[in-house]
Amino acid sequence: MTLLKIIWPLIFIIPLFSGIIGGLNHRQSLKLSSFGMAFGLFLALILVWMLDEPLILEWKWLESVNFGFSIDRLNALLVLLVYLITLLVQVFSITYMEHDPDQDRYTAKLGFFAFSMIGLLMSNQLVTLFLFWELVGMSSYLLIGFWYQEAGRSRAARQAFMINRVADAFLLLGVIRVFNNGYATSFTETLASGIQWDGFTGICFIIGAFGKSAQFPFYGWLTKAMAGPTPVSALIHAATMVTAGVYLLVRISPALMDWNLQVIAIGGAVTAFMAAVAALTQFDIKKVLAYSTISQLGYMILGIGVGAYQASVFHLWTHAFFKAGLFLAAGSVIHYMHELDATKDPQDMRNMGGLQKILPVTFYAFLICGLALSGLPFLSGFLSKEGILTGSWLWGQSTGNYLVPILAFCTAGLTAFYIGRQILLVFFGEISFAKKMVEPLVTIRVPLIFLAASSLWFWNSINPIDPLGWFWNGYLFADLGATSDQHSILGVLIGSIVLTLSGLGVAYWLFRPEAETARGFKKSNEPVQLAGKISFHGWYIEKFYDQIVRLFSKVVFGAGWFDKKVIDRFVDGVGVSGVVIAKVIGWFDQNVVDGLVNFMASISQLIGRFVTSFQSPKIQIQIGWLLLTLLVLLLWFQFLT
Amino acid sequence: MITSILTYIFTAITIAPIVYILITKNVIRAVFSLAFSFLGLSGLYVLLNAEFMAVVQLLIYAGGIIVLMVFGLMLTKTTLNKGFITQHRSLFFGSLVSFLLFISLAALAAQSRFKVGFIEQTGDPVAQIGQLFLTDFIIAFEVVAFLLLVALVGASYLAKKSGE
Amino acid sequence: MMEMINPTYFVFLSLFIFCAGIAIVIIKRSAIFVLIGIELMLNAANLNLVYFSQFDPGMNGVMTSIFVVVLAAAEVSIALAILLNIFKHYKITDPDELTSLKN
Repeated sequence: MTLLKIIWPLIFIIPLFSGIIGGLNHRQSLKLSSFGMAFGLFLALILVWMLDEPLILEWKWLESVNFGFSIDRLNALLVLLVYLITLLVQVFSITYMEHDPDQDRYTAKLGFFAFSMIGLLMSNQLVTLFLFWELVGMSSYLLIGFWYQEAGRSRAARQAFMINRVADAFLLLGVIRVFNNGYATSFTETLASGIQWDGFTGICFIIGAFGKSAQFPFYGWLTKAMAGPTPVSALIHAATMVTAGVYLLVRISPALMDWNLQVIAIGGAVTAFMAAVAALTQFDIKKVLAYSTISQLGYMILGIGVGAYQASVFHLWTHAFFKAGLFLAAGSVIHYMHELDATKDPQDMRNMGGLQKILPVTFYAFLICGLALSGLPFLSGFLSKEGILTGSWLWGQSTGNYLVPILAFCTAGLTAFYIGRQILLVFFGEISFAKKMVEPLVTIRVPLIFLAASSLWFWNSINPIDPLGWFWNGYLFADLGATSDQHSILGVLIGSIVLTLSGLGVAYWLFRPEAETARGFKKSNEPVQLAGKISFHGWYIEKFYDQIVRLFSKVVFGAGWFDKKVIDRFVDGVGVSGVVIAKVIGWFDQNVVDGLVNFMASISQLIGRFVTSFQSPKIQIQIGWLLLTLLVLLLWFQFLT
Repeated sequence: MITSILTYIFTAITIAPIVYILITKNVIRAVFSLAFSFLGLSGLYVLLNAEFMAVVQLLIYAGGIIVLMVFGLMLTKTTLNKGFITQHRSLFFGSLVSFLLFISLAALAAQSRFKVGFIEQTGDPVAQIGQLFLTDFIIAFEVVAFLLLVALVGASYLAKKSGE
Repeated sequence: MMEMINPTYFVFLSLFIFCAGIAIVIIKRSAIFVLIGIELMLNAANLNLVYFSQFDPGMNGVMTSIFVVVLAAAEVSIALAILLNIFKHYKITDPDELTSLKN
């Protein structure tokens, strides 16, 4: 136990230190930091291996507010996940960012992000959670806007941050409500006490989680977040930060009321469907993957709502691997396209085609991870998605709400279609350019291979088609008290396989290299039909945000105008009247009061002049006055004494 | 009887030039009328049994001082013929002052009753004066002598200074 | 040997001469006139002294009067010397114009 007590804080601060050390050193920053993260990973493995009972660390911060961290099996596993993906991303970035002059800043920010994410995962008290929630949001902002010199990217970072903040305001409200209503404020206590929160508090937390995990209506920021470097997208917006919302909901799900859970389920399902639709027509590689992330997050959220949170966590785990793999592979493609021709947009799929021969490792990694995403058996994604679909079906049966399962199933089919489309368009077809580049180094290949391999089934479960066989299931959920009694439903199983295969088949038929659609794709523009437009613009969510912002700006400007014209005029008027009054008083003082004084002075002056007029410069006149005085004295003494 | 007439005559000889001096603007005429006035005064002294004084008056005043004044006038003449004409100033004020003084002191004098009685003079008044100089008034005598010396030196110095 | 003249009369007389002297001093604009006025005043005083010295066995009045005469003579000589100096310097005999001490 003492070993764990030592390891635990170490795990907490290693990413921060790696970031700082990396940030100080320019040349070797990523390599140094990778070593640090590798060490941290090792420690995390030990932690996961050895952790038995949850550890709690708490201390008093304010009067009734504590700061608390805890580590239990769920935490530890997710921390391990963060370390792993972060390490892979850092190794990948060694090559990807080799031409970038700001590597030290990049490393520092990555380290800071890992630190905040781990802090979030390890938080026990709600206040601590909120603190790290905000820190993670800030790290995301810093990393999205990494290339801030381009105005569009920094604007995207700001927008992402702002949308997140709106949702976070609700989260804060929820936390405050918890304190106000006297509920338990830490996860361990909440779990132990079995108290249910009131509905409004639950909704606040749900909105906060939806914001962070890019659910409807907050998903507009994730596509914008693609402005950051691709490894960052892989780390933050595929595998770790966006799963924070899922994690939060898992933690507080015991305290939520039933209708809250319903809201979660519907929200997740609707989001999954909408995002999958949006992914169908995109041109940008990363945008497809972004919408795909939103869609898969929707699955996870859906899973929590229907009570299959074991499946949700499982899907979180597998999704992290294959989505990170997809992003890193896309990164490799983008890197290659950028090297090839720096004038064209390296992320535009219309410029790609036939990369299979040129980037073979990337191709296989992308293929495997993509098929895992689509839910093909023998791959990890199948297992986890299976669990969620089963859960949703059962829930639909028990509550009579079939909207959620239907949406979930449709989304599965759409997922297969769009990822198939992407694979075919990028890697198949004719090669439209001549340059051949050797697929780069270890630092790109190894992460890709690792992630691809981990998307295969056997790391996760011996049985390729049974979700409950997940290795970590027993580890995690034995003491979490598995509530839903899940078993594979044959119908769901077959249904999902059928949907996946048909999705892939349609994609192949439409986009196989010889097909017209594929050929015409290179020259195609934005869709003009309504359905296409809705899909392409992501259900116009982003435009909706812009309108809201515009409205706010109008209000703000209006207030500013009001302030300037009315209030300032008023203040100026008061000031002016003050000055006028002062001037009047001054005039009064000067003319009347001083006039009185001057009058007195002039009287004395008059008297003085009068008296001095007797004195003459002429001697003889002075003699005369002298004698007159003598006379007066004489008379005085004569007649009066 | 004769005393009164003589008194009145000498008074007239004294007063008339003075009045003339009051009126005139001509300095040289004023000086000469002053001389006349001194003569009158001298006569009055005689009537008052002060013969020595009368002679002193004639000698020093009418003789020395008038001459000095005339010299001074001649030497400070500015123009040839009109050089002796001056102006008056503040006629009203001066007259007023002197008039008031006269009135008040005269009123004073008129009220007073002088208790005087004749004393028979025996002996030679001049000799008496000489004796008195060297007995009762010896200090004054010496001082005056000294003063005369100083005046002499001073005047000659001043006169000399003008030569620079 | 003579009759006594009315003292009031003599007092009036000397008073008159005295006030005339004052008037001359104040009124006239020439320095010589001022000297004349001064002499008249002194003489008035002399007259008074001499008159009342008749009744004095010690002849104090006359003695004083002699001294007055002496002093007057000295004074006139000095005054004239000064006057001559001033005239040499400024070419003015009007005391009003001698204003270099003024202000």
